Amino acid sequence: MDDDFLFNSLQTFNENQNPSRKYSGLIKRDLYNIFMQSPAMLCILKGPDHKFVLVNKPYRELIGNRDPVGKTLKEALPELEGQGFHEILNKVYSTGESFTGKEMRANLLRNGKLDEVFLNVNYQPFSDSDKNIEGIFVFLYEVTEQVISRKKIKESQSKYLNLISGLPVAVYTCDEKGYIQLYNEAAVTLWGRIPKIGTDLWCGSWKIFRMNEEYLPSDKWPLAMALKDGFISNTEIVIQRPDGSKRNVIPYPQPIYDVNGNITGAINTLVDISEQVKSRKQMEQVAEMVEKLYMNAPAFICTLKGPDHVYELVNPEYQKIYGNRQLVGKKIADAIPEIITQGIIEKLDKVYQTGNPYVVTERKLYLSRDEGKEPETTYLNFSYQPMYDTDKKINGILVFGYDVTKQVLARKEGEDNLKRILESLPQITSTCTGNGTNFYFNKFFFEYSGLSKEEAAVNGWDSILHLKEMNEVQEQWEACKKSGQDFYREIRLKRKSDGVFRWHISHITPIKNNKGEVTQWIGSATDIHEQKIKEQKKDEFMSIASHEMKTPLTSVKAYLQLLELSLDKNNIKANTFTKKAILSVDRLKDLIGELLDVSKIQNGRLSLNITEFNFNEMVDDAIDAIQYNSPKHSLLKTGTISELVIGDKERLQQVLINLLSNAVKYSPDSTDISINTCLQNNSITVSVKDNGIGISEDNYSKIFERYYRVEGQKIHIQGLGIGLFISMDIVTRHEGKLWVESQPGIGSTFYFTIPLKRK
Amino acid sequence: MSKKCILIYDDDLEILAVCKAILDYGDYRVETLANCENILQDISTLRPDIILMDLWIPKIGGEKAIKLMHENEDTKHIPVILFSANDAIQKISKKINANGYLSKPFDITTFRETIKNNLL
Repeated sequence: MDDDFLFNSLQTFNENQNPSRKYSGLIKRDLYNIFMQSPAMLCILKGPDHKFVLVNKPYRELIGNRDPVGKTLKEALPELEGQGFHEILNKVYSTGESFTGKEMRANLLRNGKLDEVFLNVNYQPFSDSDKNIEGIFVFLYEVTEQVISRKKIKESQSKYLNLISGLPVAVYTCDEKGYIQLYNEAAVTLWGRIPKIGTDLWCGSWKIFRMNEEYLPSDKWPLAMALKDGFISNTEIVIQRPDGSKRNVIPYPQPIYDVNGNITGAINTLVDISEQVKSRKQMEQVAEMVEKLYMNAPAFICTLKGPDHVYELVNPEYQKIYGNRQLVGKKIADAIPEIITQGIIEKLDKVYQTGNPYVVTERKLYLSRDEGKEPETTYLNFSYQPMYDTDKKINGILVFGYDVTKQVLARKEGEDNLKRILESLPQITSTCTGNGTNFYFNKFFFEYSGLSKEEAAVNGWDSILHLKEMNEVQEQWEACKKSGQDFYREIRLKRKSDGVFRWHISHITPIKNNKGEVTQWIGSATDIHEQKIKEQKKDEFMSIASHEMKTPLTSVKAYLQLLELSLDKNNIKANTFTKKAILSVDRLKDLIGELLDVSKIQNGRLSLNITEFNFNEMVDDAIDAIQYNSPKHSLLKTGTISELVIGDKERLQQVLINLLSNAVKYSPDSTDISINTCLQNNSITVSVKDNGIGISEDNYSKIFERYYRVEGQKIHIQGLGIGLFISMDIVTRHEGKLWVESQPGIGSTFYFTIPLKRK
Repeated sequence: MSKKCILIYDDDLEILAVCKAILDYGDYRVETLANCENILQDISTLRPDIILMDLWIPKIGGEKAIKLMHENEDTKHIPVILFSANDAIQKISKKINANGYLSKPFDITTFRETIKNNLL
């Protein structure tokens, strides 16, 4: 600062005073002494070749204690040649304008070597009384040390800059006032902006918040606190970038002191911990969720540590099972002593030793629901999962499960009720699970079969089932289990008391849950043996009866035909009577046949005689037969089936004859009956249309029932009311369909279809 | 040349009578029997050219009688017509290898033709 002062005083002196007057005055008086003792380097040069007139001691020392007085500049300091000083001095001398130069480098010969020095220079011309330039007043101040040290600082700064610029962490420096000086790439990245040098204070951030999202004014920023108050805070902050994104940062501000302990600036390192924070947050969230799950789970959860199964964590649901009993920190055997004899510890040990999880449903346990209370029946669904430490060694067991006591008890009560009912039933009853296992049989089953419970458990139904039905029953039962449909069938079951295979109607029905899965099957077998025997007897009777009836009929018909042959052809009456008698005999034969058919259908024993035949011919024959017997009606056929058909020709013809004779029977007042046959989609459709009395829609299905007869008609209709019933059976057994479309008073059309089976 | 012999087995005498009556119109010797257990002996005695066998006939039944006949080298060549009121007659006749069948009641024309067609 002293050089500035001197410069300034000299400047002032030069500008405000008449330099020549002042100069002469100063010299004359004590100014000389001041000149000589000044710490600044002074000298006076005279004339155009700058002859040294006066030098002071510091000047002399500057030039290596050489004595330049009386010599020109060139003579005294020859080394300055070419360093530019001559030219400046010449200019000052010739123009009379002063010159000021800062930190000018000069190489001066001192002690035999050339030293580099830096000088602040002031050349001040002075004039004589005629205002001619007389010489130059030289004022020098050496700043070599400052320049060099500053250079050194610059070098170290640039080294420092290089060092920090490559760092992956944000680093920046400020001067002592807080203005940002240096910063690295990482800082720019972190801030999301380039700071304005000379403007931005304390930090290059856009905005800074505390962790609690409170806005932090810039004078409270970590570096500001560090610089102004010497308060160093490494508290986590949030930096907001201009684009709004936020980074979590820990600052490491550090003031920089000079040798005297004065703060000259500060350096700050900002460590971006956003990723850690993010993962920490995620971890916290996961932990929170786990805890929520754990605490609020409708399932019971606990962890058992170590080989002795010590309760570590117990969630509220788990605690619920044991009421006020203390669990945490205790071995399971100590906490729940009643469990020791119930096989649970063994399971835990096994899981702990083998690492194989253990899962069980509806495990029955006797547990005290409160301290000191009597153990109660408890049903639990639970699993034991091994837990591992970081070395992947088992260190505990996770218990997870549900208390299903209420449900099981409710169900058992239901089952008990059901079983009580089933037990009391005077017929064979059985239940089993949805997959057909775990059979229960009622008392009656054991009474009937004479089996022991053990025997029943092994073979169940099969052990009393008739061998003839065995395969079919098993197949049908398997199919039912797959489809979930009812099993319905007549079977023979062996009665222990007399060894008789008695006929039963067996019905097994599924019970399904709300998902439609079969949870249970309930099966019963109702003894229908007497009924069945009666039916068989009836069947037998029908068979014998029809046979017996047909035998005299055979004679009657034969005799009638013989009579016809022996009649006089001219006796027309006798011939007509005979013919009519023969027709009636045929009709009687048909009726007997129908009765037999019904009996057979009832017992499922109407057998088909399948052959390949000409369908068209069969239809034509049937039409001819009806036409022959009903000359009043006109039967008109359309369509032809040219394909050979596989089926029972006689039975199908029986169907057609039934339909045709119905059409004739039920259309007493009209004459047209049309028959159509067609082949479509590999299926034959035959229709018989009449313009008769018709059928109301209510009766569409009834007419196919046994013994159904059209009632409420004025006319009497012949027949047993079993023709359509038989026809339906025949068509169904050909895998076909038989149906009617009709309008009362307008007429009916009967259709039947059978699939065309080609050889 | 002697008349062809038709042997008819039926337990219903009326049937036997009417069959005889029908066949009287033709040039046949008609023999009738009401039980069949001695069929082989019957054949050797009566030497029939064709047999009409009822199905339900004492004491062994038509089915068994035909089997016996078919098992015998001397008799198995004789044509057999099964005749019955049983409506399974078609199946049974196939099963026991009968030459033909007649459902009762039958038409006399059919009856005559069936016999005529099956006579050797």
